[in-house]
Amino acid sequence: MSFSWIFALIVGALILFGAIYLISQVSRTAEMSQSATSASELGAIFDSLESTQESAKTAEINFPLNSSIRNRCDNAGDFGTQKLAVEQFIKGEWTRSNLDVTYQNKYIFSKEITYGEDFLIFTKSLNYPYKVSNLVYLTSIDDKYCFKSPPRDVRSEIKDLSLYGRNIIFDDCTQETINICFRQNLDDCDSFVQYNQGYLVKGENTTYFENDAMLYGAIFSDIEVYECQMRRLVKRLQMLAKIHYDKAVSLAGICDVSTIGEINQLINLAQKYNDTSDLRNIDNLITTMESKNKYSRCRLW
Amino acid sequence: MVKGQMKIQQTAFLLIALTLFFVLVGLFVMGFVFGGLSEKKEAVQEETARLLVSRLASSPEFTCGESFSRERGDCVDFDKVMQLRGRAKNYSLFWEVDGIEIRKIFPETQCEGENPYECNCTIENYPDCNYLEVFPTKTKGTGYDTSNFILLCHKGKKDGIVYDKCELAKLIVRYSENEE
Repeated sequence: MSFSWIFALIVGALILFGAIYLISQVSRTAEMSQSATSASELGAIFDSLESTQESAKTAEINFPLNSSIRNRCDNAGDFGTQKLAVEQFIKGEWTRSNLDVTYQNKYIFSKEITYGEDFLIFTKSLNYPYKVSNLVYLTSIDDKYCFKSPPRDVRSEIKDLSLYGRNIIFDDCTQETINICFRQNLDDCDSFVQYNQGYLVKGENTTYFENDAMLYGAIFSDIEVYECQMRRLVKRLQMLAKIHYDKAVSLAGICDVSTIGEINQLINLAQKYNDTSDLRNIDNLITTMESKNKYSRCRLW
Repeated sequence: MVKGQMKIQQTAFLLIALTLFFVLVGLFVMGFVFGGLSEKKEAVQEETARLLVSRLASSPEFTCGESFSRERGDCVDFDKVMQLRGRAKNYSLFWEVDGIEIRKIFPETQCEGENPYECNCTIENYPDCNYLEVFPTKTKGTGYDTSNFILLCHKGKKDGIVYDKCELAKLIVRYSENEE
């Protein structure tokens, strides 16, 4: 073989390797940008669900490929942060992306990692006693939930949200469904809900709730995510209480706000909040505040 | 020998030229593909800002709730927002915007000063003012703003009687073009 042929082969091989390396780099960047785009588009969907007068709303999101949505909650700072990362299963592996989309004003209850192509998202307003936030619940359509003996309120709300038959069914449970039992002495339960006493048992963990908005959060998310989001919500509750307190003080010359003492107590209780077992202390105060505000001539909320 | 060397040189130049050609094609394609990504990002930002304006009016920090007789759509509580103004540091990253303002539209409010139609709301002149910078604009540069009409309500007292007063206003959200 002549020297020119050998030279051409060597240089040609070098160029081929260089081109293949460049293509793989570009392809990896494109996959990461697709994941980041999906995560920020998910945020836009959450925004559209929240920009509504309705107290509850449902939407579905479909990805073209098998995807995972990673929910990271951090409660540091004034409001904590909500991080979302979307990864897609391409060419036999998950796209590894460190591109998290971060929000301070969203509270998403889901498993730490949710897998699937189609996801159901529904929102519900948390009023405690004033509106604190819209809560977002994210589940995969592949995760089938079965509620055993749910109370009437839960039953009718699930039907109103058009979730019944999509990934939630009642009583017709199987081995493959995630079974949520609302009565004692039921078999084959993944979680047990004591609705009137306000607690949910999942495995070895017990977590607490005071209304349906919190209950759905406890059902559809992992315990760690639920507890973290509740800490974030109590921080926002406290900040809103301070704003309401300042408003009450500014209205002193105009009308008497009957709940001003209770708001101050609420600020202190929220400051001491650790986990959902502290909700019981707050709840008694909330009930008093709701009643006083409702019948007040100078309503604060 | 010289002929062989010439052939090597010709092959080398040909290979270099081909490589340069494909690199230019590749750069052109990458520019085309990733140029679309930048526009997509701006479109998502603009859509987010538009939805944010309608969300803001119903968010707990702004909404009237039932403080003014009954629940009203797109109603902002002026008394509450005046207190929110003092907490700009806490909310600096909360809504991911550059600034939030409220401007009264109707009825017209006049106040003392150089420009009677342009008076910033302070503790002294509240509620007889027509412009409130809820969160001051952080970056003074190019950016977008979106707005929506709202009902701006507050409590008042006259002759010992407490009343609710609601006026037409605009909620303006500013966000910068380039975010860090």
